[in-house]
Amino acid sequence: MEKAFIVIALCFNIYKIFFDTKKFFDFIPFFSLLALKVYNSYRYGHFPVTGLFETLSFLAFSIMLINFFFKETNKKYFFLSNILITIILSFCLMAPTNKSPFTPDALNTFLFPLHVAFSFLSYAFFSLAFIGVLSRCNEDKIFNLNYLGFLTFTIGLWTGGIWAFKAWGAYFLYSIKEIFSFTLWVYYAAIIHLKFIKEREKLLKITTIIGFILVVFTYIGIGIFMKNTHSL
Amino acid sequence: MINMLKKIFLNTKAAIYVLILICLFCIIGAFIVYLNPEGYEKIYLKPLILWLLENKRFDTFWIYISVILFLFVAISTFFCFLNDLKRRRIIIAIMHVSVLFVLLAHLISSLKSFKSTDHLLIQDEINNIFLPNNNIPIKISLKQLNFDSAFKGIPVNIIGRIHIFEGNEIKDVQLKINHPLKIRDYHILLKDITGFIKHININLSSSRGNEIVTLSEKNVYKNKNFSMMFVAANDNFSMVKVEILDNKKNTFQTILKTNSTFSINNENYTVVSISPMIVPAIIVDVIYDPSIYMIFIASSAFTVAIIVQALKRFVFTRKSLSSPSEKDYNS
Repeated sequence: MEKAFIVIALCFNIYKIFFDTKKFFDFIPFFSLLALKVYNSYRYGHFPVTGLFETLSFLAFSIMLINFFFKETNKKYFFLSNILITIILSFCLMAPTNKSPFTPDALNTFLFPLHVAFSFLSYAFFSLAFIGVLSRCNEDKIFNLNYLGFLTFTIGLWTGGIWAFKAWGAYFLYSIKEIFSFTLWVYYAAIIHLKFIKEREKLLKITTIIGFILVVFTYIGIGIFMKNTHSL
Repeated sequence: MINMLKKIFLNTKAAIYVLILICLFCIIGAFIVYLNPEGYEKIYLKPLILWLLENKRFDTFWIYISVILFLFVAISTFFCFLNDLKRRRIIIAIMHVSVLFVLLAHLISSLKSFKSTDHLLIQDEINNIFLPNNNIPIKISLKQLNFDSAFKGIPVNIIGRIHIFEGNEIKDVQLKINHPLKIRDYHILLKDITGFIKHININLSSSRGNEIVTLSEKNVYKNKNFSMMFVAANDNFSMVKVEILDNKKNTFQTILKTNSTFSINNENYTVVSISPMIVPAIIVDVIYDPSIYMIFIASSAFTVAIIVQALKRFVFTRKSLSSPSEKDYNS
């Protein structure tokens, strides 16, 4: 059932890549993923953000959501962001869905969905900043996307830190995932400060590309391929 | 001199390079931690400085370098804060001063905080938790434990009703996962639930009739004919190893299981049943972090300030996120 929503979103997204669709078709993938989130929220009794399937679908949803707020005229930007959404949704289709709506006590807090949702929203901003570099968007836009990514990532780390202290008694447990997340925060703090130097354009582009590689490694590399206590 | 310091520490380029260097050493550190998990297993259980003194290894170099680089960041942030105040950039000043307080709080935490783990609280027993920085133990007792069984029997909605003894006063409070309790300067966290075997009842049958032998690690069972002591038991308590001393002071060890027999002074005994008496217990951790509220307030101030700054930038000044059109460029 859940994969049907992904199939609909994926099909219309692929259609959008090859054909210049009308506004009505633009909304179908977005509303399909929104319906999936509402349906799973109802099933689980909380906002669904556990596991690879839920996080990937939320990441694709976040990218679509951010794109709605842009008056972007750059066609290459939309083309590349649709390619990215298609890749994410394809992986999502292969990922196993959660079989049980069971939530252990440690995850049963409003801080948990807030932590995950804001972290993935920030990943979406950082990914779009990377696409902004590839599609040669102007510097202001790349900077703003990085800034909003940094803002949402800060909220994600803040809620995660409070939750970790309440559940495990430490806001920082020195696991590879946590050290990488902290590194990501420091890295994007450095990118934010690029605004104050003169010869920033080239540096902003290079650092945004490296930042995206760091984001992918923090999410996919550590979350899936490396053994650690922090889920995804 | 001050001007020279200002020149060094107000240099944004230098600050950016230092931040990127911190990232580099943190990435190296993350892989070191990943490849040597045993070496870093107890890093957050004691103050970081103490841990570093106890673990003088080469693979901790990234922590020392990061601390030095953070010192540079702290001084740089302080100068930026002064500069922000001078230029009346209040929100940015709040962001910078919050970072300073987070670093300061983390330094205090590195010097003093610790985590004392895996304290077993057995129901209806008064447990004394001794802590390294205090001679007076925390006196605590589990009165009741409630939970529901969920998916595959995993316990959920765990609530422990506990009594805390503070002088002559007894506080009746609830302890839940994700809801730590604050006692004096400590936070008590519910980690897990378990069962504690208080004693084992062995029903023995002989020509004199049936008798219940109650064994525990502390108690020795005695009757006219023999005394029995607990030695060990298997996981499901189907077999119990005991030491028996008869009234002629002969000692021997035997394994008791249901329907097994043994004889003492020509009296034959048969084991009718073995039943363990299990009482509920919880496992708690005690955390001491004198700077936790400082970290919370400073990080909250930073988060609020960055949200306000974003609202100011994108909403109130109506600066759109989208690329400027050609018209915008011309204007």
